[in-house]
Amino acid sequence: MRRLGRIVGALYLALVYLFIFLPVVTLMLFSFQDGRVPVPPFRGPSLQWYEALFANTRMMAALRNSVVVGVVSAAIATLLGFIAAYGVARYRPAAARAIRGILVVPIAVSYLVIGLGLSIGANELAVGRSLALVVIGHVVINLPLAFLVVLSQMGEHQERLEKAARDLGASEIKVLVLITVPTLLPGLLAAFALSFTLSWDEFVIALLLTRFDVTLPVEIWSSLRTGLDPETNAVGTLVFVLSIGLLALTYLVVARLSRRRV
Amino acid sequence: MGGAHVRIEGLSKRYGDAVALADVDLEIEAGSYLVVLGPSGSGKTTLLSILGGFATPTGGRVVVDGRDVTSVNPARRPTTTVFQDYALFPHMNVARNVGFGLAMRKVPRSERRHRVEEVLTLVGLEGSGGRDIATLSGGQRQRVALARALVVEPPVLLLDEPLGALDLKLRRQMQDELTRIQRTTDTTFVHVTHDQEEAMALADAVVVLSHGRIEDHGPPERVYLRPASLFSAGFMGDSNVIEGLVVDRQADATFVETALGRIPVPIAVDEAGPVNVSIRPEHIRVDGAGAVRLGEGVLRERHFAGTYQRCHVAVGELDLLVFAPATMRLEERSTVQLSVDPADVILLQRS
Repeated sequence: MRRLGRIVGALYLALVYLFIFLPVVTLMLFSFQDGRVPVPPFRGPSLQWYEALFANTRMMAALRNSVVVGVVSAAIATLLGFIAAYGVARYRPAAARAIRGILVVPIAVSYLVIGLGLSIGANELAVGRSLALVVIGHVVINLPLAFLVVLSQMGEHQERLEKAARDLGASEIKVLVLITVPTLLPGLLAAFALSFTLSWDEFVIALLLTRFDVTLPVEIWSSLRTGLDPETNAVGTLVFVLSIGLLALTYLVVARLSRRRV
Repeated sequence: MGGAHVRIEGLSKRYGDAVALADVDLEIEAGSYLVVLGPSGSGKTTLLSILGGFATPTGGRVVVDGRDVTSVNPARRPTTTVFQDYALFPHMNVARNVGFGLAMRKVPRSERRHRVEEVLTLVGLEGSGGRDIATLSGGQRQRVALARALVVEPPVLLLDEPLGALDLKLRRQMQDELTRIQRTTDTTFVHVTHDQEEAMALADAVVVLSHGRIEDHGPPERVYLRPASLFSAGFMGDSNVIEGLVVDRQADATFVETALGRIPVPIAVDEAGPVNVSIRPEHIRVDGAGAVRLGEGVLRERHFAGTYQRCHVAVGELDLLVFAPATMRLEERSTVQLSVDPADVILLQRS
């Protein structure tokens, strides 16, 4: 009876994983398809679609745009999130709860609303749609997360480290540079990586706010409209591998830095 | 380096309606070891925070060597602090932790290295400068924290329950070290704790704090043997407190009527009336050798405690705590004769 239970359990687990990963695995597999259509049967490995992808100047430009938008918006979100968390945690303003609430609210707002709002706002101000607007949109969605991640690291122990530094004669700027930032580094890196990954994947806001220069998800979407081909699979695989790679890297770095904690 | 004299005048701190410190006056002699003893919530940590510049008092001032430092920020104070959780910088090795204060004071690198090694030797960690904080034991971290605070040669060193996280044996060992270090550096130490044994072992002077007020202040022997208040008697060691009534006053003795009979106390009091009689458990004798008999009691419980036997003796309604000599043969449920020497009896006002 117990053995049966275990078998059923294992089977269920296998099905769940299959459900989650089958699409990704299929996509990756058919990016190596030797033929014109990304459907079974698999005709054997070939790198021709990766070759085509790297020769596709529109796709490559979109990839570059995505990296730039991701890095810039993640950097801004992390910086602002850190400043906000520092202010709320250290200066304990009278309305700290309200401030925290308002900062976090955008998490619950749909990307469509944020994108539309920015788009209408830009129109009113006669600002053209551009990647800069996408950066702004991504800062809006990433700031709450960056804020929460950094805030969670600013506990009492962290505060006492800063107190100790002040006690030993450090000025506020030295406390920040020599103590706060280095000891918060794991949190800051995690906030940055999380923000970058979200921006890297984000489609709705990017679609609404770009026109000629687009990000990778938007470019993939427009190429899909002309029909499926293995090149889309190749770019999808690339996006996936990059995201996973970044997450794994962040995890390793954060774990390594955190181990130093006392 | 030499310690500084500290004078605290009318210091108060309120948090809304809550009073953490109520009009505290205190003199701390230069180069002395003061221990502030009190339960949690007594205001002892608040007092230390104000001395260190981490909290602003709602009233009163702090004067160090004649200079009013009440509103001087921590970085410019003549004080440094050893924090309860040590607050060592996890991203720096031992030498950089210890040298931090010197670096902030722009002490040249070569001199810094020299002074760091010197103070590491003082705390018994010579040659450990290159070690990572994460590889240190609790006791070693404690020493690094001490070295880091001492290296800048502060006139006053503040210690916030510095031994609280150590196990008992290490704690006793560090107590001896703290005394030695304090004597060597001649710095004024202000040490906050709730451990009365620690207080007695370390202090030149003890301050007993309760509800933001000083209950007692003096040398540990005096505070232990002649506590100034009921709270002080109860907090500084164990005590048997018995209600009594002064029935006879003479020039050199006072007679108090209690549930244990009439007890003569060899001091004069100003007025008759209700008092509390406090007797330390080690002063109640079960061998009948005390000059004043306290009657018969039944030994209810006996626990061997190494250097003594911890006994509970029932006398009528009273339950007395008695420390009997370790070698004495005692049996539970037997009857014992209790006595005390009048000089060991403490009279306290009943409010």
